[in-house]
Amino acid sequence: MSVPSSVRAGLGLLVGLLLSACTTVINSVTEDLAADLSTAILNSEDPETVRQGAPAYLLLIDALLGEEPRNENLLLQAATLNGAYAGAFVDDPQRARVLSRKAMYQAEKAVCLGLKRACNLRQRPFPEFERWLAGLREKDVPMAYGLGTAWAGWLQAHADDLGAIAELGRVTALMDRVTTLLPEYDNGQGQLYMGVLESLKPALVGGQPEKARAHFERAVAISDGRNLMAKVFFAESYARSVFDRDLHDRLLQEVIEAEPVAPDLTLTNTLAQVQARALLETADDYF
Amino acid sequence: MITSSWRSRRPRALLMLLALLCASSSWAVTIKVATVSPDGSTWMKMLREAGDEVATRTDGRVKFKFYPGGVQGDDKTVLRKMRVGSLHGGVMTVGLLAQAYPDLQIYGLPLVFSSGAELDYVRANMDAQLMAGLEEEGYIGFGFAEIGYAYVMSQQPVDSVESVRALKNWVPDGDLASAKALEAFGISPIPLTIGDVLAGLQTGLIDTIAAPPVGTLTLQWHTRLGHVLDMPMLYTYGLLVLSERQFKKIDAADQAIVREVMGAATAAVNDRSRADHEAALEVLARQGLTFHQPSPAARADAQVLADKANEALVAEGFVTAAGWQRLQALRAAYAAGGDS
Repeated sequence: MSVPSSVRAGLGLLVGLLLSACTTVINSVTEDLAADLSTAILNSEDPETVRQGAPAYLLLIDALLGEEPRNENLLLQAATLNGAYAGAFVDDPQRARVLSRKAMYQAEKAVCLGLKRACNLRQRPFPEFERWLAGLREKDVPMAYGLGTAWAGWLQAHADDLGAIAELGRVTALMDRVTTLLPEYDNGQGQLYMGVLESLKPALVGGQPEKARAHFERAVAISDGRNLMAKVFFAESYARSVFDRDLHDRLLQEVIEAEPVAPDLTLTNTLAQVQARALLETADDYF
Repeated sequence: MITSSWRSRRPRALLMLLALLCASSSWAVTIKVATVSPDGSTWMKMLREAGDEVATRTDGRVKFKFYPGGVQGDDKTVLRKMRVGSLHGGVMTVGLLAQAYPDLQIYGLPLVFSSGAELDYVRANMDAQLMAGLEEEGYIGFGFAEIGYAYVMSQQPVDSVESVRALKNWVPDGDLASAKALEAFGISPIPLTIGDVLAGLQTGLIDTIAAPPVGTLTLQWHTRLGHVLDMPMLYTYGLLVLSERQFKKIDAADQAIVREVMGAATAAVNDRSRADHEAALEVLARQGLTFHQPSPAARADAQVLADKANEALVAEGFVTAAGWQRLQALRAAYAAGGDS
């Protein structure tokens, strides 16, 4: 049996999924300037500039939170920014854990303040957690999705910790509910999260790879094929786990040949192309 | 006639060169290993590292190729493919391999060990013998890696065998030894594949399982459970095996490297698993599962039933009488604080 630590596999794939969420963060912080900044970030063709520049905004938002510690929208934005930065740009595992923990704390607090009966969600028994999920409505999606992304990022940074792995079922159930309520929310990024989460468990121990595939296909379709990161995760998470080399190579080839410049997707697409090349280079060893 | 003699020699030289090339290519042995463990699991991480080390130390004469996540099928299929030669190894629990060599499952009988220290003592003195026995059946093993003790976990409060008996218990489909042991405990289990357990718990088809805590957490079964019988019921473990046929294609010096490297990798997984097991018990409690201590009487009752079950398992050949006696002798030696 393969069970020990099996779900640690593949969590690394969540890296970068959070990137696009930067938009929301800065948008509502200082309106016009922030909107311009977020557009600049997402349309940047140089990830290194963003890597070096983003910490300044982490500090800025901390300062703003100092003024309004119970502002749930600001908390959610802080969580998203911290989580996005940790997931996409922090290589040091210890720093990633610290930042993702901070993001999770902020997201939990935001949801506790912003949604009904939403405090201590991680501590309550699972069936009770499921009942809470069932009570969520479309208007709750931004908060719930923000919690889901912070949670997934926290899980990824703590993938060697069984205490974190034990919460995988909750994150999956939460994202499942969110994508059921609003399948195309955040340009379909929720579908990508679901694709990765559903790919973690092999079919032989109860996983449903075909469900994962459907989520990935939907994510690609929602962006009209322009979100190249969707194809990268589709290849890395799904095609590798089911050993479908043709699909793997085709998807990555499409990513490499595509034009990375697209509204609000240039940064992620640029990173996706780097990742696609790395995956193709290691394909012979893997398959 | 120099020319003609050269001509006659040239093909011979070519043949020799070809023979050399063929010989050197026969040295490059690829060992294909499959497992249900997904890529990124402790096993796979350790195996990939070990595979790289073997390739480096044998100058590429021995290469490992891994197929994780069950892409080559379940343990049964992997063993079949090993027999026909399309695969050369697998990482699996001892269950099916015990059909080839029964004593492989000897540590996994119910309530055999009274402490972790006793178990370690027995294993330190018996693992090598079991590996040798397995090798006689055509499988090369490199030691065991524990998964941890299985505990009874349920949706209902459980504090004794008696309380478990009335519940809907799961047994892994095809696991004859476990089914037999449960029968001796007076339990009529419901067989399901591992993949169907979560759904079974959700729909109420089953409400009780016996499983190692690490697996229970990893597969998210704990989300449908509320109670744990705080008594380690049986020891679970797995191993990497290679088919002897493929292993013998490697020359002796390289075989020694594979044994050393894969032995170290298995030992590393074993150590890591023990730490994980301890952590998993704490996580289960943090996740809200209630641990129920059996009373001394309930514990004694379980031991009597387990002893009876084990007697029957030995009588029916699930493990050999010689192996069982050896294990009991080691337990006695441990109790006496001496050497085996």
